[in-house]
Amino acid sequence: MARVERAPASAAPPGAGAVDDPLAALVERCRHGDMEAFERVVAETQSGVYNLAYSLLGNHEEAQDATQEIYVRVWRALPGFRGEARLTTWLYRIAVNSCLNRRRRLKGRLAEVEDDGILERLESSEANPADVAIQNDRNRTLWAAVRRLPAKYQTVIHLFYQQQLTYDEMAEVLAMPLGTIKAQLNRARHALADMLYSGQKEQRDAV
Amino acid sequence: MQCDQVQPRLSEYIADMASGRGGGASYDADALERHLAECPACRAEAERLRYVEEALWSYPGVTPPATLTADVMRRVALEHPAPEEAWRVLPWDVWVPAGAFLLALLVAVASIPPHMLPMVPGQEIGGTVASWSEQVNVFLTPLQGPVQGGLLWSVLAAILATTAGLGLSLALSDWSSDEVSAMESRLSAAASRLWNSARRAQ
Repeated sequence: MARVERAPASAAPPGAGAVDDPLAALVERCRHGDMEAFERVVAETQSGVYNLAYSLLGNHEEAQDATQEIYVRVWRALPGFRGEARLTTWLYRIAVNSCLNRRRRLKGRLAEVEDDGILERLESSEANPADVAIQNDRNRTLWAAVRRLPAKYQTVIHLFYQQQLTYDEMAEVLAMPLGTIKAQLNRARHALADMLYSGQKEQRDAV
Repeated sequence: MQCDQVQPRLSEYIADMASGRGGGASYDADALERHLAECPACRAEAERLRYVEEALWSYPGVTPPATLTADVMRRVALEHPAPEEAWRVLPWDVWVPAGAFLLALLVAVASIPPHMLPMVPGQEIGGTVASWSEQVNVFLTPLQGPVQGGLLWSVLAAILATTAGLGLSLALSDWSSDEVSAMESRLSAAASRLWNSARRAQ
């Protein structure tokens, strides 16, 4: 099982003052209208935002449009950003709200525009074609299972496992108590176990 | 620890074990592990959750489109400059004429003699119904001392305001030097016609 060390959660409560943010210098320049600095911020953070949008919307075109819209909002709001949280925390808060709103707006249409080109877009860590095929199959199953979860569970799974946020950071992004975050993650994992483990066990028993 | 206490905390325990993290946990790790060693049902549940945890730690990301940063910046550029900070990035040839225009307008208004202002019914000042000019004077009196020159001041201020306004509109519009020259020719021709008409009338 992969072991991932997360950055320690911030000791300071939200709003208690400036936090240590590796993007702080760029953010300060952005706040004064420096487009070049903002372009670097976008380049640094776009993967997480796009992945969140793709995860919640399941469609390339929608995810791309949502990502652009999110950064336009961020650019507009940057002069008011006072560095009380990390930029990424603030960015993900805007991204989550924006994607969930868009998802609600598209409620009926989202299933119709579901993107089946997911395998071409998934990042692969395997070099051997046979291993790539196995990994693709596993990835497709995992994505399908996560996509079947309610939006709030998809969001916590994405933030915890893909963006590797801490519980504290997630609580800040989602403006929820720590206990609620843990409870949602717990329910999401159990739901995924129901979907994924039985099929996997049948395969193992057959072998 | 009983099964109903262990199971709600099992996935958090397994996730923390996988990520090598501790602290702030809602479970007692030692008690939970003792229970797992004794309880086959909870061990089976732990196995299911470990399988999911392992799959999720390799949860694949999608590669964003190569043009995403450029697309974002193109869209953001339509919003540039940020509204709240617009004044900081305005070039001098916008804010200098704009400032001059506002100053000239203020001087022009302040130098209008009160008797030239239209008399319209207004609100009460000091218990009596005041005319519009009296109401204006309440605000303009402190300004009128230095510029109380009557009509001459008004004309000078109006010329200044017009010049500044023209400068402002030229700065805001994106005219080429040829277009500016053509506009100057038209304006001087119009001024000559006005001057000739005035002389003939005399």
